[in-house]
Amino acid sequence: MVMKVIIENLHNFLIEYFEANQCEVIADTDSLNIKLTEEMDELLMNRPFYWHYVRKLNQKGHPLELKLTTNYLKATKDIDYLYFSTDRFWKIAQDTLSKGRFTKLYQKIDIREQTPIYPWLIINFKLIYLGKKQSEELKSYGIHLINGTIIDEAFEWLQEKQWTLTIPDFCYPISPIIKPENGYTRIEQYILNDLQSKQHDWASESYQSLTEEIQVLDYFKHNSPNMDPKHYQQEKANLESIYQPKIKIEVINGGLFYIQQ
Amino acid sequence: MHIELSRDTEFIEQLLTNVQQNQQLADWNWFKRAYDITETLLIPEPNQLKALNQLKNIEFLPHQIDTAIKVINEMNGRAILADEVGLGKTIEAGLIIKEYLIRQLVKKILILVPASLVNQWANELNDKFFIKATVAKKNPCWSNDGILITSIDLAKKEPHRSMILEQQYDLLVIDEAHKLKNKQTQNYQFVQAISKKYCLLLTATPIQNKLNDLFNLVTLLKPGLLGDQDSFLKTFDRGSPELDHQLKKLIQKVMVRNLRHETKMNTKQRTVENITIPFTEQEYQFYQKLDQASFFNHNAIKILHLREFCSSREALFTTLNKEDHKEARSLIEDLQQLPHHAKALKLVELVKSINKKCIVFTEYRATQVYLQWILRENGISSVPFRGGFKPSKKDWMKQLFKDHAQVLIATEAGGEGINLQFCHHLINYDLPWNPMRVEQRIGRIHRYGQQNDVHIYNFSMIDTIEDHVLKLLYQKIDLFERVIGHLDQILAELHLKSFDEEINQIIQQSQSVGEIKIKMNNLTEVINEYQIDGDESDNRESS
Repeated sequence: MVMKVIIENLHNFLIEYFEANQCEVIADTDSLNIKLTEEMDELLMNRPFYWHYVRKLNQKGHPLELKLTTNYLKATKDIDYLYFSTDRFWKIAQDTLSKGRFTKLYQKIDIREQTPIYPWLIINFKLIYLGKKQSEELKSYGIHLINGTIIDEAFEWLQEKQWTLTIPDFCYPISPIIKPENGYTRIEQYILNDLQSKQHDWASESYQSLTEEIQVLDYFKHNSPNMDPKHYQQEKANLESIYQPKIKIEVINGGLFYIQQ
Repeated sequence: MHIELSRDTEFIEQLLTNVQQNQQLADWNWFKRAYDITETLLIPEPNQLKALNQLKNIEFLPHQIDTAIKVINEMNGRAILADEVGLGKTIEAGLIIKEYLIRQLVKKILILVPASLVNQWANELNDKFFIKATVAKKNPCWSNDGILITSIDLAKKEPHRSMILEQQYDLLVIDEAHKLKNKQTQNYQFVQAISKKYCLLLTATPIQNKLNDLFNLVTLLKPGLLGDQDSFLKTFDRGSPELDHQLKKLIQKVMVRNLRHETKMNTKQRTVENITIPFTEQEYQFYQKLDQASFFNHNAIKILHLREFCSSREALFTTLNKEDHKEARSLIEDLQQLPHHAKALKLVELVKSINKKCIVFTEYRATQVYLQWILRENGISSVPFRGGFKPSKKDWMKQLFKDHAQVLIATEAGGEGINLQFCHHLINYDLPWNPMRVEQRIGRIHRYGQQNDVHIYNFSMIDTIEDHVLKLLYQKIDLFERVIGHLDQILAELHLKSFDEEINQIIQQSQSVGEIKIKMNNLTEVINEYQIDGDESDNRESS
């Protein structure tokens, strides 16, 4: 499988990101000149003392201008390098995840007659499989909060439509029959059933390794009378933290979506 | 078998609160952006390194990538990295650390390195891998998450020791780990007691040779892999091809050792040219007068002065000026009458004919200043470089050299800690006693990242101590045509002290240059013989 990079053009992603954060951006082909807002300065420029001081004195702070490039060869003392590997990108990613975490959206439809729009709960999950080897999956599920239908690959479906934060004219949202919290539980149950129906070879392998590693350690302990019992326990716990198979179900984001039938 | 499961119990409640209060609700673009970022940062395949996608600024070599994949996927993060010198062990370690950080499998990391390398590690992790590591100084906060770099000497002192032993590290990295081979030492016991999930031990010294050392190092990583000590030594001490094979298989479970001749490093050759230069008659007369001077109370001091004069008038002047003696004052008067040093003139000529960037190494500060002056007189721009420069100044000089100057003139101590792969001509204006130090000099440019063949020029003055002793020493050891790498180990195995000390001793105890020559000859013979044996065992290792 080829590794997917969804944000292929980080440069363009950054332009949109900063503009969405009300920053003025001047861009050429491989560098960006960004006039930061106060909020962005605090997030990215790492000068908490300055902002603390300015606020203490009740003064107006001066956000900095930030010059960035995603091309390593173009980076200089004045133009900072920003890439997936850098700390600043990490901050931007965290900020994006938090700003895009919750939503309530209405399908944008241009219509002249009264139209009902139906409530869906959409949740995007990251499934993390941990053990000897790690892998991750991004899953998107939706549940129709009137009739209980569950769909997967919901995000792709949403992408085909247009969205707005306010109810479009002539549209009226139908109230959920299934409470969203119950909808969430149903989706979770759906994932668990799905996981249970699968063979988890990776987990058996990892568990097998754990057993072997502990045998080796026990043999050592048995033949080394001087081994500190605390050291033994520590080592065993560390082996478990490497090999014990785990699945983490993390929510990335989600929300209520009102969609035309 | 049981698989642990963790769920998100907070999200839905928070969502409903936000919806109810109509706060922090994302528009479609933000919602999509969060999804896209997640998908971009996803770790999709167990057998690939996510870090490679994210580190476009480094060109990794195939063996470095292979090593990182092997350590993460097959060795599950507990490994000895034992590449030969110059193949980029630190790069491999950095790549592994980065990958674990990206996968969020590690948060709390302790890196123990020799005190002299603490800053270099911090810089390398920051500059190449964008990993922010803290250098632990007086009162480090051991209980915080994050990445701490410190020396083992600091770490093992109280109160640090107890604090460190209370922590649970996700990853412990130890550079120069061969120093931990003796389990009776405080260092060993301390490291053994540190709680760590993953662990990387870096060493350039092959550890196969002594079973005991091997046992101890592997036991740090995986207690029990080689059994307990008694039965291990009983079993393997007998030594047979079959047992060797068995042992090798066991060790391969925890150790990666790349050899230079197996890697792509080989493709960039080094050529060595020894350039001998005659003194002018006037200079040579002075040299002889210095050689015959009788006021030195020690032969070794005279030899130091002779070497200084082979470098520059200035180098000799600085030290001779301190001698309070009539003869010395008369020598200084003569010295001041001399023309430009023949070696310096040769340097100017060579630098002009190379007409590309060159690094010039000298042993003396005074020579460094003089060379900078004479190069400038000839329209050649140069920058100085010394070990004593602050890191920021080093970076600045390196940048100046890269962008503006043709020549970088470094003194010995400047040899460590700068990597100048963009340059491929190196002039040893004068040679240090210790061939390992020359190897370090060359290592600044002949290392991974070098795109061109590397040219080395060794200067020496004809019919001088430099010519006699150093040429003998270097040519005998056959240093330049190949990479030695394990001279340190050879010295240790032969129970010799450091090379510097051996040579100093020879010089101090000899009455004449002839005697020095004979003794040097003996020393190099011994080393050469040993090296031939060593080569054979090297081949066995890689077969």
